[in-house]
Amino acid sequence: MKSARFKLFLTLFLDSPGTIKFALGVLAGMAFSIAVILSTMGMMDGFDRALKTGLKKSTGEIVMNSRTGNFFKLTPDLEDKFKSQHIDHYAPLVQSESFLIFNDESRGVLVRGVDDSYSEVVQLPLKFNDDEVGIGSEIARLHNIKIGDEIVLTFARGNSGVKSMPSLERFKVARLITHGVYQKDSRIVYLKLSVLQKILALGNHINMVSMNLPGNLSGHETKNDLEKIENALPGLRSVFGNNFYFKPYWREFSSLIEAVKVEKIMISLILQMVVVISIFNILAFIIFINEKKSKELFLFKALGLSKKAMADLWMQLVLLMWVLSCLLSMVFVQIFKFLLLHLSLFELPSEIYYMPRIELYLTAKDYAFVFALALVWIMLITYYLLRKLKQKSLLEGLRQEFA
Amino acid sequence: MSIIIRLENVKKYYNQSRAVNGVTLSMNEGEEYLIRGASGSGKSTLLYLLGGLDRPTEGEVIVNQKNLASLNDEELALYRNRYVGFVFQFHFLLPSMNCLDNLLLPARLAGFASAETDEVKERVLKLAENLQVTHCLAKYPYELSGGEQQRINIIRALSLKPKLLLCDEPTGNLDSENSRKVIQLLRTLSREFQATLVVVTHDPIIAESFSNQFLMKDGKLA
Repeated sequence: MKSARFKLFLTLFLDSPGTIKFALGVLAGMAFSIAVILSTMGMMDGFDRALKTGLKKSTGEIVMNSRTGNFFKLTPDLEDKFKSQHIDHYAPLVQSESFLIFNDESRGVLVRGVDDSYSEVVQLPLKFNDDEVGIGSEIARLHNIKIGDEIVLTFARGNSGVKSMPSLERFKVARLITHGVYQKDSRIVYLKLSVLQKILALGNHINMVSMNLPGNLSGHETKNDLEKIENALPGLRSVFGNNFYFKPYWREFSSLIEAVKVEKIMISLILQMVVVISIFNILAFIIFINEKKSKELFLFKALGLSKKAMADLWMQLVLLMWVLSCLLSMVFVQIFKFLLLHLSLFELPSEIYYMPRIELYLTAKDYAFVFALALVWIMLITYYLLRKLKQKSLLEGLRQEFA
Repeated sequence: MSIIIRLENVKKYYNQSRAVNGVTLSMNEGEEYLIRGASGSGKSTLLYLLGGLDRPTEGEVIVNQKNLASLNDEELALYRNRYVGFVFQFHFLLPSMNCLDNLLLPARLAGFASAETDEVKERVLKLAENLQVTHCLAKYPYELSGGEQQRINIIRALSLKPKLLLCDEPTGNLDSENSRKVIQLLRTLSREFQATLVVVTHDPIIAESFSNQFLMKDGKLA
């Protein structure tokens, strides 16, 4: 019945309000330190995830372009090749540069001509009538454009040259599109593929195909996306030959994503210092208890508690504090998550961070990693302390404490 | 009667001081012994060596055919818990616990299951009734008189039915009448529990009643 022994140990130590307050302070400190690390990791992962999800929403999982930069037709032969790779969701599109004009202001934009299949690939509502466009939500915000407003897009006249005057086309804004990435929301304008092909005199030529691999169609980035897509690329390249190149959706921001990944590891390691510092509070608590309850501890030993059993009880106490700190840190993380999403203080400048808010994204693996590391630190430092604590002889202790 | 305690040239040094300096003696099972001597003669140290509270610097302390020096910390702790009952001069009752919890402390530290703890509880309640301290059980040690504290101390020492009852100046804080009562009580209870009783004292009045006596002087048997 070692639990009864531990209960005795615990109730003896927590018998005064001062000691309880000290213990709670230590717990809160430890929990806060763990929460800081978790939140930092969560922010990094949240940024990574939000960016990837935004990018995926703006291109699909993989984009195929002509290697020569020429327009091409989506022939039955190409469609067979998609089928051979079990790719059922793909969408032809035309992408071109343009200027958007509204209220005497203009802005360089990326115009995409898309058909219904593109909506399925990117999981965005992108079905338009001939005179309609969907514009990125940041374009709308920056130029104060509302749904129903008329805008003008400028295009090169035909596809033969750029010497002649551009053509101006008027469209009604039917939808505001949010990808979740500032750079996309402030730049992309969608319209019907056939309309853009007609304006640019392309016939049924396209210059891009956007596609999703079989499986995840939620539109959200998942942890195994990268691996899955990286593994699929060689197959696609070998089937489609050298005329096309394939780009995964994160390629555009790959250096940033890699930097965030490295930073996450570095910051997590550096922040271990915070945990170590808070562990010193636990050590202070042990020393405090050891001094304050030395009478009880010496009597316990005299009445038959071995040094090992005593060390086990200390370790159990520290483990209990670790468990409670971990639980409390989860509460702190939830509070921080809420504040991050709702407090204006935490709103980010989108132009710099690509997105206005970051949501904490933590997996069970992240929690396990941080909790386990904290446990290793606690056990190591406590073990060292228990060995180093001044070992007064039992007899000396009894005489001194009870005299 | 078989020999239960045998000390062979036992020495205990604290820095330069020789608290016990070559003691050899033996004690029989179930008998009553008194170790007397002036303050600082080493009698309490000798008692604590018998109780496994400390280890000798030299020599052998053999209790029930086991050399205490050969026991590891865990075995020595178990020996203190199950084999020995201590009655200290200063009671050593924990102020943060009531008397009943103090009495059950050895059982709880032993990690007894609830059935065993209940058995111990039954025993201490019976002893408390015999020693007329039942009314003290719910009280804290500071609420009791010196005599009551000592009786609680004795009950705790006997709670796990020890084979060895070691008493260090058990009457140190009591008047002569209460001293006699306590000594009589210890003798009665040790007989009842078939325990070997070893009492350390400098009180000559108590010494008169013991037939087996050792006199210590300057760390040696005189």
